[in-house]
Amino acid sequence: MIDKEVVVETRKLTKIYRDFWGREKKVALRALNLQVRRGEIFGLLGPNGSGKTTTIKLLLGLLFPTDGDALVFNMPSGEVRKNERIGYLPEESYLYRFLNAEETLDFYGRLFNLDPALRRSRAEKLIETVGLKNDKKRILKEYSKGMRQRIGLAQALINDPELVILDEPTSGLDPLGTRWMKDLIVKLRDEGKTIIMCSHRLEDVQDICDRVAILSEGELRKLDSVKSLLEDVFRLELRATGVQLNDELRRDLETILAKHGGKLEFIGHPTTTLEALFLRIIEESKAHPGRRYMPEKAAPAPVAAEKVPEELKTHIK
Amino acid sequence: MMLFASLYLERAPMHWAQLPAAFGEWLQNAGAAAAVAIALVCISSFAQRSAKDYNFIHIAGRTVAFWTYLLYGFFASVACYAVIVLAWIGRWMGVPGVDALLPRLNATMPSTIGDLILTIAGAIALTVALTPVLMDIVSRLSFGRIWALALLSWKEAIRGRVIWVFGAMALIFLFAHWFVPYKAEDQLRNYVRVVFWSMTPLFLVLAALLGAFSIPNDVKNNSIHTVVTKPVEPFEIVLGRFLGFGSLLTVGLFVVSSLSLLYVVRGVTDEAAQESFTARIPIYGKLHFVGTKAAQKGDSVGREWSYRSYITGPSHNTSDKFRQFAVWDFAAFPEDLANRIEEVLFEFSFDIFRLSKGDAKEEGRGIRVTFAFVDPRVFRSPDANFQSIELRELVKKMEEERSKEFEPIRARFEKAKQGRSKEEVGELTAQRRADEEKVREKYRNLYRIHQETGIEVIDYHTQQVLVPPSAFKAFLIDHDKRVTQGENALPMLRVFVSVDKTQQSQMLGVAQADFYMVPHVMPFWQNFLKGTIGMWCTHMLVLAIALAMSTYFSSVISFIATIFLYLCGMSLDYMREIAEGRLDGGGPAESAIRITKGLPVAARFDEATPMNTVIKTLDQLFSWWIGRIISMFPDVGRHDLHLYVANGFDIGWIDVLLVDNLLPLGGYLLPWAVLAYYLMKMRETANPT
Repeated sequence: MIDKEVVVETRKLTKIYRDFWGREKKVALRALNLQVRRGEIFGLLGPNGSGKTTTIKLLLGLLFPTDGDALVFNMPSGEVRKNERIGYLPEESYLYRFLNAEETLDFYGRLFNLDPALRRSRAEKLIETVGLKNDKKRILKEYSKGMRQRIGLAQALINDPELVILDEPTSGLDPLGTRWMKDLIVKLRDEGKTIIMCSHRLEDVQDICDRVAILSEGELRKLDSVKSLLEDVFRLELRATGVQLNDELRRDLETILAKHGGKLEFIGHPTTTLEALFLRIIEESKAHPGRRYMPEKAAPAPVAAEKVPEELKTHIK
Repeated sequence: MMLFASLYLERAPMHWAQLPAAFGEWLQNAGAAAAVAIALVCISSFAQRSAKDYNFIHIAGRTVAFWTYLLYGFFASVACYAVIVLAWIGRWMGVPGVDALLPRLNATMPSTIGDLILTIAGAIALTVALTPVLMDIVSRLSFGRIWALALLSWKEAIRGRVIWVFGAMALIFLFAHWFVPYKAEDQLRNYVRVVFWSMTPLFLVLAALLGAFSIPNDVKNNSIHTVVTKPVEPFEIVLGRFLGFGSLLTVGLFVVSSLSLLYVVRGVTDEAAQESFTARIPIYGKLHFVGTKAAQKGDSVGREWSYRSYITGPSHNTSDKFRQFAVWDFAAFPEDLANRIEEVLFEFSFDIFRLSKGDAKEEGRGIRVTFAFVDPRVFRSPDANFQSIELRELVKKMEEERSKEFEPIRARFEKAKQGRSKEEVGELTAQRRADEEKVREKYRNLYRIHQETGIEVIDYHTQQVLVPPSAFKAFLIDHDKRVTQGENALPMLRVFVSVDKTQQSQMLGVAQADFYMVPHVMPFWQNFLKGTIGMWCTHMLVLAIALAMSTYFSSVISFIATIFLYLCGMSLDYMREIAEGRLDGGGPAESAIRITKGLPVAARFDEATPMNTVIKTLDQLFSWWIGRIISMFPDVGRHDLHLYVANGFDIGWIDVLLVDNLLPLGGYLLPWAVLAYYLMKMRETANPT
């Protein structure tokens, strides 16, 4: 991945907000250095006010840097031409609410000077991709937040961009929507696009990002691949099937670990994630409509990782 | 026929010949604004604390490559301004010969070298400011994107039900006639006023609201984030909004105007139709005077409204030798007039100032005047004063010779009518008149003079005088030999107007636009729609100002500032009077002294005391400053063309619409567009988060 082409680069990127008199009000970002390479999903993580959105706005040219450089496709962020290769989904879907989905995509397509036939075919395809085929004639004012986020993503992809910048892409989405969004992001990455996303939802970032930058108080605190960041080399995880947990097994394992200088911390059945459980229940309810929860019956058994539908497996780590 | 329709234009529309001077003045003003703006940007960039904490780099755009040359240009412009400043200082210190380097104080004075320097400085500064804009427009701006934004504006306005505002005109159509009292002859005039006055605020407020709220709302709702992150130049947003709202207002205006036209023309009374259900295409002459104190002005009767000046006529008690004349020179007239069958119409609307006050016999009576239509080539003297004397001699001679030829015709008629029936006498009378007319025509050709005497002038009325086409045939004799250029150029027609001898002297008030030729007329409906073009100019003006303001200010501030500028524009004539020092009672400093000392306006204030010198200098500086900032305000008065329509005067495509409306509109909007370009480019679209 190191050899891959750099799509986005910041060099000592700094943004200081000032008051009317030019006095310093807040340092939103201080000397940020990072590189985003082609074909990766890059996550920006951090608490509120850490500088994630400021970084994105600086990359997009919505804000001007106080110092340092922000280069996108090797062009300064203030250069309008770079936008031809970028798709942007803002945190809230700030689209024009008096337009319907078709008109929205047509409008943004026109801004890229796409020819009418291409504009129509892309709009049609994207509307289908984001699952708004039946609602394409409704104005956006009538859309739910999730639907607006979907059409927002569609407008970000109308130009078939090389770089997609997503600000809180799963914000306002239900678990199903979140899963759909994450799948789509991975699919985009697999198609060769570069993704930069910032999110508060750490599990989303962990699920799909290749590399993450952790920001705090406007400064970069950590930058590495998710695997490297999360891997604890001083601990060992063991998973096994075809064997029941009992005292003898525990003792045997303790003996072996002691022989190698280790110590058993925990042994037990693995649990699934709430997301996986939720998705399974929704799948079942679609397969058997009308079946209800009966309080006297036992709660659903914990689901093993291998029972999760195949297409969702990749995201459960 | 006596009418009430008349057109008072205190400021005649600009014509082609005035355009170069107006362009020079525009270069000075717009260039000065550009120079000040560039200087402010330079100062602010130097004042920033961090090397990149200024937006200067963002406005450089594609011009970075030759940024140095633009900077040199700016310094050259500054050097020119420095020359003017040094000349001012030199004058103040009493250095001789620097006066020529100073610009004139107001437009009524002759141009100086200082004016030329200011024009050059302005042109350079404007070039520096315009270069990045033009480069962007040529290389980057896409009509497709601008059109997309325009369509968005249409949808926004229509789906936001803004268009319903146009429906407010329905109230006027439904109820206006309840409140508009009119005499039969005023019917059309009043309805034209009502619909124009109703449409003006309706559209203006709408234009200001659309312009002031659209971009700030996009910023507030963050919708602009999804636009500027596409390959959209910031100025395209302004242009797209302008095109969208502008076209919406244009369509709205056309629809509402068409409906208003139907409303106005339904059931026009005969009297109103005669007054203004037409569009006279007047040809105005140039007015000058003979026998008055000044050639450019008649005598003053002390009226506050100085639109007209006066000539007096001789009375039985005064000498007939020294008469006063108002003289109109018509540089040209259509040559087809000579071939017409019907007579050529001239209209006039003069004022009467009676010197016989309280005379019951004179009460309500008009005064009689004489119109002499002359080819000025007949005069030996080039001086109009001598020409007036020559005219009297020529007319006397012509009448004597003519009456000699009338005598046998009349004698023949008297003899022939003896013992004839009434019908036969009628036929003979017609024959006699035709014979007399032939004689008149012969003498018109010979003397090239046509005179109408004893025409009674009634004040507050528009009256008519008809001239036979044969007179124009006479004026066109040897037309190809006429000198039309240079010092010896003569007008094609000169009309001498004088007051006839009366029992007591009476005075006749005239202004240049009071007397005109009406060779042709156009249909009323065309003129009505042309009148709305003036209104359209105002809408575009307000929309553009509001949009330019909204690129920097919030929506409410932009709206208020736009309305403020518009209101200032309404009092532009008054500000011009201040700038040109034409106000009675002096400027603010002199007025303050007059008020504190209790000095009336007519009291002298020209003693050369040190105090008075300081006061006069302060007022001069104030006038100069007003003269500089006056160009910031829109000249909304020039776009108000309803008087033309209401009184049935054609709005000329070239002189009124193009030269006096559309070109000044473009000249005024260009600096605003440049300002909007830079403000959009320099602003951060996102709010701090």
